[in-house]
Amino acid sequence: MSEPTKASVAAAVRDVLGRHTQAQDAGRTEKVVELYTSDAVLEMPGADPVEGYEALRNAFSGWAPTQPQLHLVTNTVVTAKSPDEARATSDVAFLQRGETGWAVQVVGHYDDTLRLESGEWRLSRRATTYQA
Amino acid sequence: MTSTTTKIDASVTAGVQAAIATYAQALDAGRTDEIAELFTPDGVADFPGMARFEGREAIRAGYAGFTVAQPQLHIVANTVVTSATEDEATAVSNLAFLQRGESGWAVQMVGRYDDTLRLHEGAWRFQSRLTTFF
Repeated sequence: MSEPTKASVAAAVRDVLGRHTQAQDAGRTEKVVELYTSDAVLEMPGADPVEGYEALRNAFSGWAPTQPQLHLVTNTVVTAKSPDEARATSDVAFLQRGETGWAVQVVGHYDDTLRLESGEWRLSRRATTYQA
Repeated sequence: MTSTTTKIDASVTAGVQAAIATYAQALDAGRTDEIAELFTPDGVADFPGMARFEGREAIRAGYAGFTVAQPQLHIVANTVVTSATEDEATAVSNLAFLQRGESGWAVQMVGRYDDTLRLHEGAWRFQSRLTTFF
């Protein structure tokens, strides 16, 4: 078990994860992208890693919502790696509204690394996995 | 006013949230040893009317019986730290238990956690965790 994380770091990291989800589900791609560092990497199973702002912008534009959706992010555990780096693991349930109402489409897990840059915590890596 | 208006230290809240979230992740991944470690050595996991495990050994053995047979997720929400001193805190949370069956993901159970946590060797650990389903 690791050392307790400073409360202010945990709060700032949770804030970034919350903003990401809200921006993504609202289709605000620019708001999503600015939560990442310029050298950030997004990893998903069965796809090439998405690296850097331009690639992130293209990816999130392609994933813009086509119907009402919600990423329900929960069970976030924040671990400080150093004063300017933190790791956060979370579970996520992806809900979408279809013709028969809201349903959980996918359940997954985020393994995030965040870095403190110019006073702001930003995602430098997000690895997403899905429950088999 | 009641004690709920007392300011709870942010570090206590962060430590309590960490224990609650780690428990959910460990449970859904079937990491029984990690669950036992989240309790104090004399901690109690209580599922009224179903099971009660006292102490880390009993917790380890008891949770080993909760096999993860199909993909599942405990969504924990609405956590409120209801009281706190320097080394003891109480918290309540809600949970929705999702499981994937043949027709996809579905909410199987909804309930509540009533927790008492203690600061044990520098980390917040469950002294007692009461799980109730609605």
